Amino acid sequence: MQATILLVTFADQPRRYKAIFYLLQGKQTISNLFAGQEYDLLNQFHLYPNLKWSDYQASLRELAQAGLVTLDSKQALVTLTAAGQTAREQLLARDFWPRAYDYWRMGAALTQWTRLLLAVQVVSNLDHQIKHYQPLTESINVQGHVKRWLRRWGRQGSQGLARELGQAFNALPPRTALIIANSFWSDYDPGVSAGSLAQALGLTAAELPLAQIDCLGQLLTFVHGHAAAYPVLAQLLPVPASPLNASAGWTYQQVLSGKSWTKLTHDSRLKASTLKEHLLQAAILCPDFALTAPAIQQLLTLDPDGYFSQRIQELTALGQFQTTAQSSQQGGVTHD
Amino acid sequence: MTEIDLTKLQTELQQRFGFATFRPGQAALLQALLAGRDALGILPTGSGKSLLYQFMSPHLDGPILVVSPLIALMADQASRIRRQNLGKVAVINSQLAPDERQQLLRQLGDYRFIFMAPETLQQPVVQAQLRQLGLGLLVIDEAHCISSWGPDFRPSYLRLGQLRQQLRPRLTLALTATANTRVRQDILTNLRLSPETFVYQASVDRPNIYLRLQNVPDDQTKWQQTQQLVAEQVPTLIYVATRREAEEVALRLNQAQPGTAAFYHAGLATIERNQIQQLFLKDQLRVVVATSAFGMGIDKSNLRLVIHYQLPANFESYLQEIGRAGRDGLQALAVIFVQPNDQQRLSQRLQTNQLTPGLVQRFFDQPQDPVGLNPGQQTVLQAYQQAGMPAEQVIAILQKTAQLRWRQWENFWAYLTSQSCLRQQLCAYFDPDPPQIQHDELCCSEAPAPRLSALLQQLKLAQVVPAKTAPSDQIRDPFVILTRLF
Repeated sequence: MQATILLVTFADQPRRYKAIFYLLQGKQTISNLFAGQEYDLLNQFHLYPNLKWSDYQASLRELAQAGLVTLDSKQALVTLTAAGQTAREQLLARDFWPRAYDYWRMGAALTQWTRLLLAVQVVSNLDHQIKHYQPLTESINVQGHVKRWLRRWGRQGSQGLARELGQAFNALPPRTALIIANSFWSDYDPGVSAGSLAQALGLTAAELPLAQIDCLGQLLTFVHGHAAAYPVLAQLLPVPASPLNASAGWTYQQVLSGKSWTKLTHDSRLKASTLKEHLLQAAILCPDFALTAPAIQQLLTLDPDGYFSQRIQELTALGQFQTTAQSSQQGGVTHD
Repeated sequence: MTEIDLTKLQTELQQRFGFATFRPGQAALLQALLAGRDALGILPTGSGKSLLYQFMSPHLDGPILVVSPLIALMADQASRIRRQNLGKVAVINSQLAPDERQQLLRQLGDYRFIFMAPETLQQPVVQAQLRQLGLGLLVIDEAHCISSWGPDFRPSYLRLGQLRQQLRPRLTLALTATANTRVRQDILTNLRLSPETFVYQASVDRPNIYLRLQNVPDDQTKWQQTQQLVAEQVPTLIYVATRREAEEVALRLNQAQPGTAAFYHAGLATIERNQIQQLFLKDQLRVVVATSAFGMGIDKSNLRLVIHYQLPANFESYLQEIGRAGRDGLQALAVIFVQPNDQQRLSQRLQTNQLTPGLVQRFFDQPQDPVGLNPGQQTVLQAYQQAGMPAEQVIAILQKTAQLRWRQWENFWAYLTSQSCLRQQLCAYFDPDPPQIQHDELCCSEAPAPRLSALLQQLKLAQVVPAKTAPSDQIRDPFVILTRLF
């Protein structure tokens, strides 16, 4: 990995570098989610699912040797130096950091990106009667998804894909359309290499995939903001209905239905600690968390100094519930 | 083989694959397999090893399991089988999500070709599934990885002999491009193959590849001469030592002539790697600058020029990598740059990567805290540990292989600094019965004579196959792209 990219995730105040590593890798624990909230990195969760600890450590060492960060290995903290802050600003000015992508609203970026590229390859090959070829991904899940999508839409889908992409490109910023379109390839038109695209954009090879994720985020926001006009793309690239997984979604749904904490623990087969974790996930990830719901209020009253209450207080201090006095109807729908 | 048999096989080859004749060794190995004998094929790069098991497919009752060490290699071979529509292919490796993997394992009976890493094969659930299927053919690709005397020794290959006996495939075919006598014996012994196993070993000599040693005093001269070579405008593969260098060299080439080159290394996503292969195979990308991750199994027949911008890890890698040139049998050129400080640099690299007994022992005592080990070394030690070997045995093996690495390196350096026929030296090192090479003006040379420009004029690479490269490596307007794609 390009070590300097990590600078974007650090600050002039000490940060826990292990928590940042797990955030980037996508390890979902309350502690990591809290770190993500605190460091304003929650959207970048799961940005590098294949990141290895040894590579991350090597990058940290490289940054420290270059005088861009200071490391406190005893407490596992990293802090940007003045030179590091300058480098961070310069890096952000290159406009590749995926600000538009939000894992919790949009799902795993690599999965969505691969779905889009594979659909383009399949439809383009179909249009040019190319029958035997290597799909650009080995992922059976993605292949299955695109197959089902194509089966559902048939010929109309392949025409719709080209039309909707054209319309979306007209609506999106020109640079976004340029990056997305120049990432497409099929066995009929092999496109341009990633290296050439990166060079043309003034980015490094490691920065380009992040710029692509940013563009994908813009495309998804646009398509799902106008889902009725973009049915083909919206079904090709479905977004999760809730940021919570099935289990946490169920727990939160019980809270939203007005159940008391006592009734919830009685009805559920899960341990109380697991239920609390689910609710903390909801508190972090659902923008209009039902802080005033009976179960939550009961929990806060029962054990005001306990782990749950403390975390809720911390989130309150971070401004999480400023606009959320009322409960929402969100939650309870499985994460795609 | 009788004349009739050979004719039948050739007819089948023509009908199923569109080739008029077999390459050396293919017919003999197929004859042995069809007669029910296990076989070991030691065939040079580009001699069509994968055709052997592809050809066998309709002649077998059960599926074909190919054990392969590299994800890129598996993906590439699977891709070729799919393109040729030879049967359903499953690739099971670490890139699959757990649910995808389970799904594949459940449906394994639907597949004709199954590709797997040796590590995957060691899992009991996988073995049970394969035993149920009844394998028609077990292929051990890159079989030299089983020998600790080989340069690419993989501890996970060590258990393949035992697994082979448990899986009981009807036939076994071991394949490699590089094996001296010692490695060949190790393959037969460690795979527990019977003395009746048919062995075919071809000479490594590839007369259509001109070998050139290019001694250069400094980086600047090397770069100038690389540009001179790239200016030949022929399909070119440039090997470098690291990912960063691959990116840098490609960038510099593109700055000089936009859209000329792409870099390729294991750090790229599968989608990008596949795309670069596509562009290169279709002559829409002229130069690929790659680490050793590129090439295994990639069959670009009209590759005219292979440049080693930096020295490969060893003699065996060099042989494999230059073997990617001129697979169409036409004139090709392999240039290797040698700098005065290379000897020291590579010796240092060997020393740095060497695992001391203390480090190995510490890893076995505290595997969770691998202090002082780089990621590559950690992977090696983990593999030994997973193979169930005690620390003492691992230390002994590593000491033996360290000595071997030094000897291999000395041999390679002798080649790189020699004044005698390079081709003869290659054959002497790799062939059990090296042929006598008739050195001529299309054989090999060491700089400065003849001059590089004179050599290029003499070989006329660009005229060997008329240039048909049509670079598309320029970014385009989004709407132009959509019109072109759909």
